[in-house]
Amino acid sequence: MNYLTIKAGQLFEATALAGMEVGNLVMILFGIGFIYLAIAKHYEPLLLVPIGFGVIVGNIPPVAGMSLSVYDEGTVLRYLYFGVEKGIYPPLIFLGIGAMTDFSTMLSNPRLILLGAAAQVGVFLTYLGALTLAFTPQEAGAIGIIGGADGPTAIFLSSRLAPELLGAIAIAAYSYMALVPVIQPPIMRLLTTRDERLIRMKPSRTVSRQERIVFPVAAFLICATLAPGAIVLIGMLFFGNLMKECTVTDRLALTARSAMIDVVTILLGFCVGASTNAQHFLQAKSILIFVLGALSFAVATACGVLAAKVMNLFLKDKINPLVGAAGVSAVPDSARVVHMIGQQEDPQNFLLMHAMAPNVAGVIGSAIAAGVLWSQLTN
Amino acid sequence: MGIAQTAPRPLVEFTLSPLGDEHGIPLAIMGILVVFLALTLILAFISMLPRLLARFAPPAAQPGAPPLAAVDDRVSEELVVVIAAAVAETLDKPHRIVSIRGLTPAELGWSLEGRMHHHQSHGLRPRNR
Repeated sequence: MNYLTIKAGQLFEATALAGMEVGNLVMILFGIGFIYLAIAKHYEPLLLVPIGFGVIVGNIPPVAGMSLSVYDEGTVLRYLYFGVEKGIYPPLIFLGIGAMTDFSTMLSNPRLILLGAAAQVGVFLTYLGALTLAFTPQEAGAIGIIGGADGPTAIFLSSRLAPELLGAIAIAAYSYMALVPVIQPPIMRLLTTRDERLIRMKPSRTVSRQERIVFPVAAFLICATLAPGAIVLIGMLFFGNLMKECTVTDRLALTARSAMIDVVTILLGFCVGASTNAQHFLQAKSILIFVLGALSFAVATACGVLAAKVMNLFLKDKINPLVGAAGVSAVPDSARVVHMIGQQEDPQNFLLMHAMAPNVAGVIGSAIAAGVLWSQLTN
Repeated sequence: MGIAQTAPRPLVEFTLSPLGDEHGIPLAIMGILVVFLALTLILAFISMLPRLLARFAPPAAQPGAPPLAAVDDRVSEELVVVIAAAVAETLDKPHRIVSIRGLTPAELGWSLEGRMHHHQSHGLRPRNR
């Protein structure tokens, strides 16, 4: 009997149950929640399914003597996590985003670019807010970029400036991107009148192929000259876009926007999820990061809407201020939300293509903001 | 000899002092300015781009542009231009010439046209009016 008890004890010690803590259980529930939201509610399923499953995997406690987690040297997860830790995956995702982004809406209505810039004010206001909460400047920079609503950018900057917060920042960024349809509409309605929401904008002009080819090269030169820190992200974004628009590299563009971005998204999402081990993730700082991230997102949305209202004071052809909310670079979710809110007021008002202009400008703006923060805070 | 007691660290610390540092408000203002400057330059460039391209590069055919009108080999280029100008003057609204071809003698086009012109000059009305 004693022998059996000892063997049972040894068997128990050899299972993950022995090291399971309440924190791990909480995180596993988080992971299941993400998967539920992705499958049942269709909230960013391409991101939340890999992240959610990664969270579950990352919170299975290791057995004594066995190294399995992303934090243990020599493990498979550690090698996969290398791409996150060294900031390799985000630029590759930007390459794919560039190869699937159509900048023609922005080229046809350039004034809407300013809305993409205005939304980035939220990044820097949150940066200041994080500083007042005793985060270091590097941590504050990584937290502020959550307001850019760009997961790869947030992961890239966090891996450069505050690797210890990477898990919390990545989860916060992707959670808020998934919650765009929940977070943005109340702010948009609060800051606009019904008459403003009813504004119909003029249809965009046709953009020539030459313009679409010249744009990525010229825009890269402008951005890289002003913010060299943004070269990695912006360079890959515009390189991908050039491959798409020049039409002579269709095979490369197709791979970049399909197979390659899918592979990298799977690896990135899974590894980020697996890095949210309860012992590393469940800290007071993580809660603050989530609060500041939500604040950053809300402020960025508000700044975009308010900027559109200010621009309307000077413009003859008015801008529907809802479009300003798409200045956060959650492509194309925030543009879809703008379209949806606009159609609730006027079912014949089609704002989607107009909203895509600040949306893609926001991608450029958040990458520049990340470049500035990286270059200034890296030392 | 007593052990020094350290106060428990509060969950949330609040301090305004970092805002005045080099990495505080000055960095935030600089960051906002750089983002606005970069995107404003892109805006200016995009606004000028159509004019720059018109000056330095010949306009390329739009992928969605309608195909050129099918023109009969026997119709000279000058005649096509004249017909296009006449159509534009007559219709005075957006239009598209799909084809231009010379009529064969069997179609008696000129005779038919002359006859129609002749009838219209008499101001014919339908009988039931």
